[in-house]
Amino acid sequence: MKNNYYIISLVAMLFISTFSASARRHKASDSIDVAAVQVIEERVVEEKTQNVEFIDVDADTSVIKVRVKPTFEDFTTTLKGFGYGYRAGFTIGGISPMPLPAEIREMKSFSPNGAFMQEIYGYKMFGEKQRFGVYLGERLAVEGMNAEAVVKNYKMSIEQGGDYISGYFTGVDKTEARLISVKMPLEFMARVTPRLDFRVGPYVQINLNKEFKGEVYDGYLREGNPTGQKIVFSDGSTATYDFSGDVKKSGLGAEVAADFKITKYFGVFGNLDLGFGSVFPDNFETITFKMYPIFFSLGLFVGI
Amino acid sequence: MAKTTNKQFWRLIPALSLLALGASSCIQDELPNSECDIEKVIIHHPDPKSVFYRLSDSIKIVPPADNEIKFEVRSSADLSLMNIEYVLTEGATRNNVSEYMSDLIKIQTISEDGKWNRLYTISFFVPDDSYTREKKIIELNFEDHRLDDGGKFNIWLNDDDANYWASGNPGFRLSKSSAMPNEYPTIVEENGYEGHAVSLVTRTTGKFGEMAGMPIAAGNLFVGSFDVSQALKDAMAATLFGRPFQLRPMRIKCMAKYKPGEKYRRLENKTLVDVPGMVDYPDMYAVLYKNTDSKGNPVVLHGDDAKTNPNIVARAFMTKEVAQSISADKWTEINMPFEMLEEIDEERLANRGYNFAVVFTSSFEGAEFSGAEGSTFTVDEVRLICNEDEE
Repeated sequence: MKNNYYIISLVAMLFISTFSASARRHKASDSIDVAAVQVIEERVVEEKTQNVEFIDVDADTSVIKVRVKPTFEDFTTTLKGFGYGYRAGFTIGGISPMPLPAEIREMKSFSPNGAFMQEIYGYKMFGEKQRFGVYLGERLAVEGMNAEAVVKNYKMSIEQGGDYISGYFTGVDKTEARLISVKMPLEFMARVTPRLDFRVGPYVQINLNKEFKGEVYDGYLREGNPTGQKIVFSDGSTATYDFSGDVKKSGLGAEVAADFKITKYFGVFGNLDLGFGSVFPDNFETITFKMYPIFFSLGLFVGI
Repeated sequence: MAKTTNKQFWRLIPALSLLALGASSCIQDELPNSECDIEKVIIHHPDPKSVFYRLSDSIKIVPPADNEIKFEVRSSADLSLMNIEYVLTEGATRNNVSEYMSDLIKIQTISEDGKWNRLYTISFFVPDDSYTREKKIIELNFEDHRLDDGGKFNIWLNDDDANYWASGNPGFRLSKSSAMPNEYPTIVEENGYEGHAVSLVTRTTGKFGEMAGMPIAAGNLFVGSFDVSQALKDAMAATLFGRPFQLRPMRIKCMAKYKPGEKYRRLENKTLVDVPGMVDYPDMYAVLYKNTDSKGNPVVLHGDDAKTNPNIVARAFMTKEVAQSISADKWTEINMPFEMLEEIDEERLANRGYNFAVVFTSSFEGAEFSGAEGSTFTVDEVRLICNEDEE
């Protein structure tokens, strides 16, 4: 996990250096013919607005490119502040205790399971400037993970038809979880720039299909407490569990999201969803940790 | 145009990855250990041969749930010269609650995290020396039994010794915690040939047993011990057959009843498959074997080699024909002479160098988790004729 941090920050640094490199290139071209640029700039200011985003002068062909900054009007619908659209994306995340308890020693493997979402949405912007609004979506979300974790003294119990084993497990725990749900976000929306919207708000989640199962292996269980009977699981012996039926039918959570318009009708988005509570009911004691659903989606949208 | 768009878009990415980063969480520092087992006890002594019958007896690997650690020593042993080495769970510490006194040591162990502790007793006992060349008949009647400490299942005692008989009941408890004592595979039969008998019943193990790949548990009873910690990992390894024995077994007899279950099923590729026409039958066998190898290492027979181990010197196996002839309603006498495979060494016999085991099971393929649910093998009045055969 610490390695992951390292990689992420490395990638982030890479991005930042790319940006600054491209920024320098523009400045260089500016200096090609400062006088010409100034002339153009003056004319543009005269003729249109002061919102010149950039001016690019090609010294060889003498082609001068002028780009005017987009205005809010450029990306605003004309339907009295109403808009709607469709979005689809990929989802990655997990159902996990937060923060990870010390009982989890290592993530051996992690991959999304299902991990797809699509949504139809509508919104209404308010006010004269139409910078703020409300947003309502109806989403079909397939969120899941396959996680293999090394745990130490992980309190667990397995119950099946009145029979149970409970205690502290040390070893490998593999979980397969997937929720197919309808999610309905109701959000506050802010148009930060003409292209960029931020959204934040709660969502309701109704689970249509629940799956939460797994197995423990390569370890041992101390029955009852750490001084109890030791039950060894190794050399292919496993204990499987299936808590699919125990997952709650519905849940509440919060989402933060950002939409970025590439054109007036098309863009990319990202959102982060975090459940307010465990996916299991409060009286579910088999897993002692609260298992929060946390998923991040990235995708494309079309709409006005 | 596209240039600008990309520029602004890519600026979002670090922001979003920061968001994701914040959402994920890092692995915390490892917590100190909670366990506080005495894993091993090693007795150091200037003259170990004067203390132990077998040198390997000076090292005791302690079963994880045991709180009593017993060393078998010679009556001539001078324990004041010994030095005891304890191997504890990593990080655990110990306090000697009572120092060496009247052969009993009490030790309290404390886990590394300080939250858990255990109290152990370490004792030294001189086993009864039963070595003799005279004819002796050992009677095993299954009259003495009680519930285990958890009150879940029955255990049988030989005189006062609760460590003589063992069964798979502790393993069954792991898979069917809800079972009542008489729903276990090894149960008390109150209508014995005389007094109580023991009944071995082939059971299904429920969901848990299925998930462990052990859907059937044949009832069993044997001389030895059952290592629960291995029960779900390797049932064969969990059955440890035999106790030191100082007589020459010549013949074993018992009274028995057998009622096969209705539907015989065999475990194939982790599922139970019906075997039409197959009728279950029980198994019973007794062995005497050398309990050390040529290097002095301890030898214990397990479920998978109890009939084949080269250390076996005498054996009495019930044949299939005899097994199938046992009546369901009337007591049938089983009478099996021991077959000697090797000359018995009197000195080894006198020095507890042989182990004896007798094993009863309700399904002959029970070790492979196959059999007919409900097959019931009832056994009573076991007689072990030693040193001189009676017929």
